[in-house]
Amino acid sequence: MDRRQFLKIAAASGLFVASDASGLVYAAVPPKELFGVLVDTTRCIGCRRCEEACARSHGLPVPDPNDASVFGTQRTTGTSAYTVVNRYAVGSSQIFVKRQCMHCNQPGCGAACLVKAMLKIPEGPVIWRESKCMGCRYCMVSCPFDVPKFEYDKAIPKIQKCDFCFSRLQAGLKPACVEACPVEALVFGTRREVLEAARARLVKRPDAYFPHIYGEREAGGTGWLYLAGVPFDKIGFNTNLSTTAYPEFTTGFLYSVPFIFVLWPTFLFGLSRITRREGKNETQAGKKG
Amino acid sequence: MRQKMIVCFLLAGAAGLSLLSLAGCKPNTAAGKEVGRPDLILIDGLSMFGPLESTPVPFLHDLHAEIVQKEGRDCTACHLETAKGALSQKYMRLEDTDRQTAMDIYHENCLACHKETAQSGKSSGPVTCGECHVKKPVVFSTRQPVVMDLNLHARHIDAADGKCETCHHQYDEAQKKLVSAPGQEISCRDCHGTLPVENRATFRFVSHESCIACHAEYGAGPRDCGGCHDPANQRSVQKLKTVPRLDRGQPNQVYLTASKEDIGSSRMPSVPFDHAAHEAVASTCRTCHHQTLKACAACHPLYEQAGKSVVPLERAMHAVQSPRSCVGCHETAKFSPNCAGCHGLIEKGALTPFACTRCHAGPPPDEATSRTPAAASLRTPFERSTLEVPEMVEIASLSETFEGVKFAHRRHTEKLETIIASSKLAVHFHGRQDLVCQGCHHHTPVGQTPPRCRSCHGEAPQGAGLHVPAMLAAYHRQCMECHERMEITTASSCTSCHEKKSGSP
Repeated sequence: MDRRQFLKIAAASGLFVASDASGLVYAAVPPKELFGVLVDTTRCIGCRRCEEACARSHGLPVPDPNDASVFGTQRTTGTSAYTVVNRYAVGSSQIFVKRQCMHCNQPGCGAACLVKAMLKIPEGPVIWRESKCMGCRYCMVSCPFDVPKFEYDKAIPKIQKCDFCFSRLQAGLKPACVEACPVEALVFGTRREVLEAARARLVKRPDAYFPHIYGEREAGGTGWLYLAGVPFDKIGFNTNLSTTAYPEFTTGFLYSVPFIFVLWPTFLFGLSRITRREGKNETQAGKKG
Repeated sequence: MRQKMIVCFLLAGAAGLSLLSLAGCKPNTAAGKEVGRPDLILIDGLSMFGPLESTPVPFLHDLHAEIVQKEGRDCTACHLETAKGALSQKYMRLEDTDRQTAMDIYHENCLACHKETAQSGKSSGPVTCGECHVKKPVVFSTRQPVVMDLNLHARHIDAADGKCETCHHQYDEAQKKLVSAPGQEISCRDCHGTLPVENRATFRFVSHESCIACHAEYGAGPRDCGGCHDPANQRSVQKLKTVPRLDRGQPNQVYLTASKEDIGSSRMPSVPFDHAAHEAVASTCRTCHHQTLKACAACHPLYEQAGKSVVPLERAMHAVQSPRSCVGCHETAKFSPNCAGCHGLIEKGALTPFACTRCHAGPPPDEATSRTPAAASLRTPFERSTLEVPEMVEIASLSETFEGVKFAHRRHTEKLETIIASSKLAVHFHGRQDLVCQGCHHHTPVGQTPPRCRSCHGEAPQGAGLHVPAMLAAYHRQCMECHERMEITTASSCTSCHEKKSGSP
């Protein structure tokens, strides 16, 4: 091979790798700020109007907020309940905690989804797109908060989870649960504003809160943040989550695939061509001489 | 052949592993069942000689004392008599000499008694190493320190026929002995602390020596650990109907000022202080006189002094977090259920300039030392106002799912006024009827027509930027959190306050 050919091959393989890699870059810079919600469990009175409003807004069966028997067990979200409120007994007091999708900054479900049916849209909500889903349920496996729920009993099953009322957000409204709360235990704004509000509360009333904002850094940071008056493990939160975003566990490996499958063969092929050529010259020279 | 050997080794390995895992599964004899005892002593006396080789031994004193008593013996079964005739509080020895001797004393004597009892057929204590030196004791201590409050003290005065010198003494440096000092009695803890100082024993030592000896001599009062230290027994101490005032020549009313040395530099007006009234709410003198019965200013200087770690007077009086300072104690009182309804909303420790003059209302300090406030001047009457309080107020501006609230306005204000009028502290600081309004009509001046809530509280939640809640949350949190803080359970469901609108979902 001569120098011209070598340079052509190198340039071609470089371009090939570059175009392939850019297609796999996951978190594009969003055009706006991400939205977030602060859930202040010290204010929640367990009235469950958030559950009622969510069900109404999404056409799900509407629960009866006055039925207190549901507090007998700790519930998770379900295929017809995007959000639930659980009651915990800590010491002599009762603490109510609202559960729903955390809308992580870098959702594990989004990274696990093979077909990008789980997608974090620029405004912040992590949504499920029916047109793309192929039903593998990897999103359920990857979620550290056990949020997405699959409709096993339906002929045409969907994945059901809180969608942050993204259609309402795009219309300039607030999420249904936030509007319904009679004590403003839920505060909506950009994630930055909500985080500032949480920090302000911790500073202003340090005796009322446990000094931690759950979701600030857990799993790389979530859109829904929590404040509580007691340690979070006492009210059903998983406090063993690392601060690494779930996609980051696999991006290193995934990003190296194009390099391995494209650049190395190119390089090795080029090397073998060069060495074979030289060998051919030698034998010819030997034959002559 | 080789294959057979490999198989044999694998089988042996598997067997060994399973045996090991079985060995690890010791049945937990006291699975989850922990016992609380007030008489638990963790014997770790050898720790003064260096790091312990084994775990401290949990020892139940009352259990052993009972057994010894049943055998017809007394404390001398384990406690030797000292030269002074008192009982040594150490076990079977008068002093700690060295590690080996101390260890031998425990091992020989404890085990000897346990073995003897076992031989005579009765159930006995442990004899093996691990049974005493338990790695994970199931017993935990429920011992509560004893507080000699004014009630208990009054009962002791009765028992001692009013002779203070029965218990109270002072150490005379010149004569180098204990003398009684009538009129100068102080708390035991003023001298006896947690660490021994020269020949002054610790409070723990002297309280056990004196109290128990006296109880034993007179056959009255508890002699076992639980009798004094068990929380249940402490609660069941007989409460006298009226605790007579402890008379030690203290003032009834006094003007509080800085100390004599500092009075020249002191500028704030003196504080008229009703000492007698405060005695009624303090459980013991040490609540305020935490180190000595002298006046606070005797130890707390006006200004911070370099090199000395004494708290300056201002901090001693105003520190919000302190249980002893004036402001700290008042702050704690504000969070009792009767007061927390309104005070829970107000930022903790917020001292307004208005509050200063409520206390600093006496004459200038140099004048104050020679005068005494009149008792009547310290009693603030509840000041009625001329405001017309509406009886019923309809709160219906947000009515959507529920009907409006028919708020029993006058019932609420009258109830709050009754509570305030019954507390001398509350009346002194806000004994004006019109100030009661400020509990709910906050951030506005007092008047007949306070502004409507919606002037400041918007219709829809403003989001994370503002921390003024919108109307819905403002109403709900104002009412419900007040009820919660005041421990009112009657208004417990939505319909307690507003009826559901017919036809609403």
